[in-house]
Amino acid sequence: MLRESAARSAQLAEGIDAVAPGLLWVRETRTIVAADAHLAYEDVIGGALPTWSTGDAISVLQKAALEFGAREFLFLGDIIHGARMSDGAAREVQSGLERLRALATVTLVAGNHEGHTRGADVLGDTVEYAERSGWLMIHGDQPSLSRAGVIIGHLHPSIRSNGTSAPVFLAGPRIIVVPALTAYSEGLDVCGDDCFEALQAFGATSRNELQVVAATHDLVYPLGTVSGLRQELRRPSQPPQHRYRRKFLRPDR
Amino acid sequence: MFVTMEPLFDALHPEVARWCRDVLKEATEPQRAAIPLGLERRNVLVSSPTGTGKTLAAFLPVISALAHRRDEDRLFPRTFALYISPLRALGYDVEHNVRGPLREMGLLERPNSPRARLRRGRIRETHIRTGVRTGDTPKDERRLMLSRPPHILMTTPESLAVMLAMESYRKTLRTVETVIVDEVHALATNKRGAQLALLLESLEELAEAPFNRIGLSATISPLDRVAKFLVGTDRECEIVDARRLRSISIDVLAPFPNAMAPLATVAQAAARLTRDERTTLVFTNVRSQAELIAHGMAQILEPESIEEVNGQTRERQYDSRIGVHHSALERNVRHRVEAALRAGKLRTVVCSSSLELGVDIGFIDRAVVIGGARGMTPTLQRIGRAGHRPGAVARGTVIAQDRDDIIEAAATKRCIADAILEEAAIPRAPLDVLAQWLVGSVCYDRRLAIDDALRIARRAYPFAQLERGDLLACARYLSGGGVGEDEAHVRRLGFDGEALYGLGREVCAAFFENVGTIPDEQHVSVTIKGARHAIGRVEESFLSEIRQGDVFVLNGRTLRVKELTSTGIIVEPHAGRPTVPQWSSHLRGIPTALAAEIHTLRNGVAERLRSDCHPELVEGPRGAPDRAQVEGSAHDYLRTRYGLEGLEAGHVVRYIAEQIALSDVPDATHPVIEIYRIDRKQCAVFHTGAGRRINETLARAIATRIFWQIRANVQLTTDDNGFLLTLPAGKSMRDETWINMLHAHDFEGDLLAGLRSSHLLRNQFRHVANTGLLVLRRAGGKTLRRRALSWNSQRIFERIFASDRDFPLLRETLRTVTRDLLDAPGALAYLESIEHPVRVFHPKAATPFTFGIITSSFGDAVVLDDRSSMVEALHQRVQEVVERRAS
Repeated sequence: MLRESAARSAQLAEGIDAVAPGLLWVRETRTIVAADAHLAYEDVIGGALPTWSTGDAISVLQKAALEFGAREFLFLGDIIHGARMSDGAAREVQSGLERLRALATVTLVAGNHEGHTRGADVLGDTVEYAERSGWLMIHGDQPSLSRAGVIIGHLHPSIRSNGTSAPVFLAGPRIIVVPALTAYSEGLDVCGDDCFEALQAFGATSRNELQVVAATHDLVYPLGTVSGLRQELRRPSQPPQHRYRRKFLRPDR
Repeated sequence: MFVTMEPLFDALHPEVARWCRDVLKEATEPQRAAIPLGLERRNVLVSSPTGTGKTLAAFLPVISALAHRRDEDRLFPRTFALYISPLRALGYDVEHNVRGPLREMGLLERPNSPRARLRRGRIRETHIRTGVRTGDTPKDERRLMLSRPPHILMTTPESLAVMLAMESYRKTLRTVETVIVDEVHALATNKRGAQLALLLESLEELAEAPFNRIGLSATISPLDRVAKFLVGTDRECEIVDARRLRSISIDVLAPFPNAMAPLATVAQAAARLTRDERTTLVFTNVRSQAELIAHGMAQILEPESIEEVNGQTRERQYDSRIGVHHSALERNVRHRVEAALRAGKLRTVVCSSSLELGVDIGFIDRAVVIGGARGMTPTLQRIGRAGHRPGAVARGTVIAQDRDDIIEAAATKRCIADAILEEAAIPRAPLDVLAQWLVGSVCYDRRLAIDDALRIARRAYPFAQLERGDLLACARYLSGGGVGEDEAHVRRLGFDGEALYGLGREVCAAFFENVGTIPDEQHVSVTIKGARHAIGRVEESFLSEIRQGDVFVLNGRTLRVKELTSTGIIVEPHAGRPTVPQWSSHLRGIPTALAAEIHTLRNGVAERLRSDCHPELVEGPRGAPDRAQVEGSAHDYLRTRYGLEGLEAGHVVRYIAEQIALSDVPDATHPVIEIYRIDRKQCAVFHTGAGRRINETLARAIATRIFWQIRANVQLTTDDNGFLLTLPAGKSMRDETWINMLHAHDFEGDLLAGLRSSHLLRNQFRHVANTGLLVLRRAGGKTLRRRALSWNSQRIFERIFASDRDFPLLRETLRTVTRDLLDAPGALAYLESIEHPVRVFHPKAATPFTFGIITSSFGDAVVLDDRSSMVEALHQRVQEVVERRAS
């Protein structure tokens, strides 16, 4: 059943598509939206490793831009894993962004990982929000007061089964959550209570209205609603850990 | 003056010799052999049980040489002797024990005495100074140590690594003449030992003249290999083998009528044994058990210690004579217990393996080992604690908790009698340790040519087979090249193709903050509500298992969880049964040689019972061979080969007879598969008798094969005798399919596929990455706690796996997991040796050999006492089936 429904893209809302491997495509403005790229992850954690995350993410975006004919790249926060990184890694991030700028405009919405400097040293100018095709685009570490639809990242939504996890999109009537672009995150289980609790701050009222679309490296799979998925995976409801909520409502520094 | 005919002491400096004659009077066997070798400055490995005077055997020649130096006015403020032990506590303990004799000989310099102040700043000294340099040493003491280096310096491998990297210390270490490595057995088999071997070679490069090495080891085998580990590949080493100086007597006690003893009964039995002794040490295998046994014994021996007021127990105000000692306790609590034991204030101390190592604890009458020590060497060490005085007989009793324990104890006894000990496996060229050593070798801005690095490293025994390619791979990784054409921006050293060089103070901080190979276990403290100080600590993983209101035992107290905070657990004293089992159970697997002996015992008894084997045997009906006669020959066998008699032998014979009645006993080339249905799930128990490591390896590879077959994940449980695979509900396999899983084709491939997403590999990669300085544990003076240390070891592992299979730390992780933790070569050899057809049974009840594995398949969720009642229930069922068949 899954195989049959798989496609290169799936519509989440009017003019908004989910695209493999976890990008959002805004048709009207021809914008590719990527959330939580966590560039230079290896460097920020102090690892003596090549910064694969930067090269991987940039090449994914380049490929998508060429495929769709994009006019704009919009990063939905957590562009870098941390504001403190080595000069070499910073240069690599900057040159990656330059490569993207050669293809289309780049808009950087700041997230919590950019810290209070909003990543200025590495990223240059960032914005706190953007608006495309009638949707408000923010990182999602702060609750939204907007009555319009909102597109967020931050949550790294994923589904888990048998010890593996896969990134997913979540789409409700007024909210879309974009999965993390980084390969280094296990993600927050969309069937868990922590995830739904976080979405309530953006106006989500029922799991029945939240559609799940899983993304692999070349296809996307519509999986139905969160409540349907919960039943399918037979996951009993667990008391919320309150861990996420506390972090979530913390005022931004 | 009393003068003995001990000519040995004449060779020592007169003042040292006088002290020896006055105090020691007579030399022990290791001293007789080792002191002359030490005086000749030869390399020597002394292996003897604790309490045979080997520490003095190592130090007397050193002190004598220093006294001669003083006489010749050549006692410069430099370090001449280095003492290295794996335990910090042991360093302090030994310093204390060396200062005593030095003081009595009149050779000791007291810190800050007028005499010392008078001598300060002078080049030649008249008294010997000792010092301890570990991670605990305060800064000002370290500074003092630099201006006035101790002549005898006690340290740990990690501190030695730090000292060898710092120019200020390197100056003081150039004059080292003797290196004493204590507790060699605790170092040789792990990565700390590999690190030490490299460091000693670095020191050899640094020293003005070659130094001699004295290794002190408790019982270990084979000695020639351990000696090579001590001295390196191209030096000679004398071996003083005094491992069997004292006779050891081991009794086995089985305090249960049927199949297993509940913990309360075990505590009762232990209490009975300790009642008539002055001091007893009770060893358990699991820390939590130490707590529970101590609690049980206190209830019997000191009922007045538990005070109940208005239905609630109050904290004990009573001065108990039963102590608890294990590594989860706060250090001051442990020290108090050790001191009280030394002073004879405690009657009994219940401990985990924490008192196995050489901390001095005074005279012990009897050692009690609960459940068996799981190996010959630990048994010798534990029981060797008793009669801790040269010549005294060490008496020990093993209290068996179930029938497997009786067999294990009997087989251990046999192995010890045959001088079969576990073979020390020395890790082969661990690349993470090599990487760390390379970084330390070039701090801060030294240069080290690749050829020199290879030459030095190969002199260390664990790295004798080190390949140039591996060294270059490490160098490339550390210098930032690492993987593919990408460049890492974080570099640990520089490499120009010919030599490695340091990158200055800031980069080297990573080395100083992260030196060492001991994996970081995160702990949280346990505090009584309202109290200021913590009473102990538990592993962080335990925190996720407990909830408010849970009751657990720590430090002999039953405690209820009042509050869980991010920094620890707030508890209150509580009466009643614990509701949760303890934090992780550090059960060791038994060594292969012991597994083989257990195998021999089981098959020996089975053969005698099987002569005309039928279930009737147990009940002895007409026509079957006379039960008494058949059992008699089995009893004879157990008595003559294992010294097992009476109730205990009866247990063993009945145990194996029941197994034969329902299924069969596996032998070396014929495994037995038993298939059951538990909770509507099909499960298969593979009895191999190959030991835990091989079983774990087989289980993981076979689980992968089953996954390919039925596309579902299998649950696996392993123990020393076999492994249990449980299929998900609704899935089942035919007998032939189960048998077909046991083949050697592409075994390593299946094992690796099974390991790819496992916690075992992930955790190991985390440790290897920390040791190899890939990702740091500490940075900027702060320890990164596990949660804050937000790096995903699994994903990084997968990323490296996909990009570069030859990445040195990736290969090291796989080597550690498949060779050190699991036993892939052993498992493959086992699969190749299997002779078909393999026997498959569908027993009507769980067979006795499966009791252990079935109860452990429920995980730690089964509290220890529940486990014994569960085993009893299973045993009841076996008896019913056997009886029904007989009738």
